[in-house]
Amino acid sequence: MREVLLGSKKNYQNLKDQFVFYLDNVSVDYGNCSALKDITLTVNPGEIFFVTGKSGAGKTTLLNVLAGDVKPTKGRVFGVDQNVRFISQVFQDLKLFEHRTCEENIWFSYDRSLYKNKNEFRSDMLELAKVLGIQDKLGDKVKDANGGLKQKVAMLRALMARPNVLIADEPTSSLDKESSIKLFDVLNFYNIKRKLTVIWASHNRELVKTFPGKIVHLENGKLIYSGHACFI
Amino acid sequence: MFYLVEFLKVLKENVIVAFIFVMSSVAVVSVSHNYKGIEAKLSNVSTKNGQPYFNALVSDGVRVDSVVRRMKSLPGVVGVETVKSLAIKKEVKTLEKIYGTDLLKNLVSSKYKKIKIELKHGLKLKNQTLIKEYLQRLIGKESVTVGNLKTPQKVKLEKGNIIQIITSWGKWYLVSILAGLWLISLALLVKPLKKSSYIMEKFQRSNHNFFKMFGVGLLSIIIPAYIANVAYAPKVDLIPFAAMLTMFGIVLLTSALVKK
Repeated sequence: MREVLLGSKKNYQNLKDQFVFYLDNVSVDYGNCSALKDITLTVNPGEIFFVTGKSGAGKTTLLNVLAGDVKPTKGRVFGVDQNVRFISQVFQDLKLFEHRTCEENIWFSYDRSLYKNKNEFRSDMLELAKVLGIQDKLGDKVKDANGGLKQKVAMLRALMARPNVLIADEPTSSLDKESSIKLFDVLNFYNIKRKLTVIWASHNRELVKTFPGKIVHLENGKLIYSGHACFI
Repeated sequence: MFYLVEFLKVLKENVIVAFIFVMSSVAVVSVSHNYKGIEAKLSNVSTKNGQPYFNALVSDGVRVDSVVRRMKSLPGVVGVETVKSLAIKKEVKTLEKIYGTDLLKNLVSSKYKKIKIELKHGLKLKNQTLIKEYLQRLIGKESVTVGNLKTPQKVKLEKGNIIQIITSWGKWYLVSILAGLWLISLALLVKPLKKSSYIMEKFQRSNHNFFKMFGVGLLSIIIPAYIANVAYAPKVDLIPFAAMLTMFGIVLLTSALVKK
């Protein structure tokens, strides 16, 4: 899917420091409908990157292109190998297993190559759940959970995978402003502490303007603005 | 173990489909291991449908009513039927092959009646001969020609009995039904397993999880099934291995073809 730029180890080191993704004139068509039109942008390592726009502007398509789930109709996507730079996602439809508990859903992120043992994973999970205020609800079935809890579980699952890049599609659509800020604080912490690159799509432009980071604004699949929030 | 646990969780969430999948997988292994026994059993069932019988051609002048009555009273005789002369032309033609055209001319010029005598299943040859001899004595050797005993299967096939033809292909119907059930349950299980493996691949640094899960899950069903079959009927045959390999091949193909 994504074109991998890994000529040599040295070459990779240079590229790794330069960008996470580079989109070169990317267009995506679904039949006659054009979802993205000639998008050129760069996502740098350790950056918090907001994608804003109204519903149907092409935010999800752009995120799917970055995640490698959608192939561009035109243009090229450059990214670094998934095995080296791991991408984790918070899906718009969350993709949680309704018949399982919140905790069981989070356990999908348990990777033996990252954690020494299950206890380490469990303690990390409880710690993060405490920060998000859902430690008492981990035993609840997802089908019985409210929208806010589901989104927090999806975010927790994504973070527990210890990714290098986090792609989050409308992660705060069911959350109030206070919870949204709390969630952003968590991501900001991971960004500073672990150099996590965050790509966050939201239709709530006013909310993301309050956060530090880079904003890309889309309208009808076209890139209208790209720059820091403070300059809007 | 992790993949097996995930596979079992998916089965637990789709109980009915999982039941069909497990049962059809076990049945495929069992049928492929015991195919000879099953084939024999199915053919036995088909032969039970008809009665063994023999025919006798009688000169038109002979009064058969009393003969029929007496034959019916014999032990080992299940039924006696008479057929009018017009209906037996076909039968006469078959005799041509045995006795030649000269005899046929004589036969066609004269009129005959046919008596069909149905016998009990498993009647000994000695008793069959006695019944035939009794018939010849009743009518007179010159006035009757007795045919050979026909097996029920031949009878049914000659008559074009569709049930007989269908049951003679029984093993293939069984194989088709099992394969169909297995494929349908597989198709229904693919979606939840694919979702599960997709999520795993998104949050863990691993690939080909669908095949790993399905492979481990299928092995955990078919290996115990095969061991149980071998314990019950010890023999080594290539057919069960071929069946299991085919199942694996289909799973591999599915994992490659079906999108996440």
